[in-house]
Amino acid sequence: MKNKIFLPLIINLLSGLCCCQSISDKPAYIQLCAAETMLTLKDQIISKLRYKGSAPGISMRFQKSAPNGFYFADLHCEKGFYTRNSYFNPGAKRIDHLGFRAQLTYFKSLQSRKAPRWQLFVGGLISGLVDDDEVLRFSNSRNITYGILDIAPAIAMRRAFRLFNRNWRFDSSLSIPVAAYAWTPQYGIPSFNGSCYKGFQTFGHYFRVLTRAVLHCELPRSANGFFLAYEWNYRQLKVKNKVQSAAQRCIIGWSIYL
Amino acid sequence: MKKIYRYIAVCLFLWSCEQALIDDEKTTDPQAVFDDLWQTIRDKYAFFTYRHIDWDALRSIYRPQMQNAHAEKAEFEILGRLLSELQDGHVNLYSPFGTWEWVIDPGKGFNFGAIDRDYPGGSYQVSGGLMHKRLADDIGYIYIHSFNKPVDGIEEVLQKYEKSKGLILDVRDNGGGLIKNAKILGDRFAKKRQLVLRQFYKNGPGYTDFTKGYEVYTKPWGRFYYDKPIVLLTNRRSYSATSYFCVLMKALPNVTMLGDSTGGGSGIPIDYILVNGWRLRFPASYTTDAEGLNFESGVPPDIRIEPHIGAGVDPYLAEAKKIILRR
Repeated sequence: MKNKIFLPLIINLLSGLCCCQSISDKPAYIQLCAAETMLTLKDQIISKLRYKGSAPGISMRFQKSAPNGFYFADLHCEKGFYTRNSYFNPGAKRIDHLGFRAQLTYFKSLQSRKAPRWQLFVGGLISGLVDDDEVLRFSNSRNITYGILDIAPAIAMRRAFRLFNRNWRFDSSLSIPVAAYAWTPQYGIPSFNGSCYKGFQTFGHYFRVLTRAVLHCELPRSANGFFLAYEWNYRQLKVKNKVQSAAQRCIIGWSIYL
Repeated sequence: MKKIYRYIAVCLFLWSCEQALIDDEKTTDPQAVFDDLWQTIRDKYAFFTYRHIDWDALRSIYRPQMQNAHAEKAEFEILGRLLSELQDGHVNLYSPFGTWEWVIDPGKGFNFGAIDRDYPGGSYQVSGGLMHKRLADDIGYIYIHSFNKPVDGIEEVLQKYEKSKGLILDVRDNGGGLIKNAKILGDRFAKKRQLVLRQFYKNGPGYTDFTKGYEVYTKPWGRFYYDKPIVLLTNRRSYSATSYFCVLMKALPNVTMLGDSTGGGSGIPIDYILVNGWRLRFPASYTTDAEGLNFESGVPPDIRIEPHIGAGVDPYLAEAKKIILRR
């Protein structure tokens, strides 16, 4: 089963490195990705200690050119767990993690002339996520669920360059939404009724940074594009207790041009 | 090639941001460990007002003792003494070398073996967390030792005793477990949807900072309603989720609760990992019955009888049989 998943990825990786000759600028494509996320959590409902974790995931992105810019829709889900390297009872230190993210982003080019070497875009995103950390407890397990819906300005950069005698493209984006509608567990972590705190969070209670850097190289003959992406995002939410989490996501994927 | 280094540098920069933003406060400093425990309990523990505890005063008594504690085990003992002031069976402290817990009032003895000797009725059948057998006079007997095991098998058990004269549900020495199992079992005996519990959760650091009461209703399920008399046997070791179960059952018209008050435990415990890695468990909520009685100290029985096991005779069970046969 593993071979069925990873073999095409490896073939794409190798063929991408060997055959990439030029960058095409197709109007629309779907990207299918496999991701590995490195998680960090400090949730003062649970502890002042930092928890580290890992979560494999899958993503899908639809991207389409628009007049003088582009937009994309992103779907991502991942499942893993946090642990703390400790001598302590393993049952108590493990926190299951289930993350979903849906994002809609639009970028508009700042340049008027066509296809410059550097391209700068400004835009915005609507993003929603549900992060469900199930703390395995001695007698009662309960979920700590965070849901966030935020709207944010974003800036993106795109640049083509040559490396190893091949053409590559580098995309990056940065977004700092400072306000969001969020729902979080209550102070005492109720689970029996599933109740939670809901409210509009603004700067001081909520802070989030999303970055994404993508190295893209294409397979012109088969019209497939292999790419590697790196994402880093940080989230801080302060509702009675401070909750901080960060994720570094390494993504491998390929584009199917439409 | 320089360009790729730049991108790698960006990634490393972000990674280092993460370490700086989310720091790790792990420490073994005894004072810091004490402060973390004291403050966490101060902000989140649910029963300071109920038990009339002056937690601020206790800090000044126990914190200086931590200065003289030069070993982890000594620190553990001091923290245990501090926690014992709460007199709460839901409060625990777990360390790699031991667990601290408050032993709730054990009450008088209960001897499960006596039931086997004096009330023979064939061997027990076990269905998940339910042990059951038919006693003389066609009375069904179900013993529930813990709510950690599944109780879904109650449907088949009830079908077996559908035609019996009554049921004895024995939850003596049941220290609790999963509340959802207590609720599933309680719902199976319910006839209609009715309010049985209200739960209040801490939502701030003040001693009286609680949410509004979240109402819990019975949700009847199963193929038929068991309308014969049911006697629920309890003692002081019936604790936590078992007290929840007793509140659910007491609200039903055909149930008589017999024995001693339960041990209580109306708060749902939460876990917290201290800055030295030890685990602290304590209740951050309380629950009342539909009339507003906080059963933290126990659910009172309908009929209280003095518990004693003399010569292997179980007075609870004898009385329960009389109640069923009288009806």
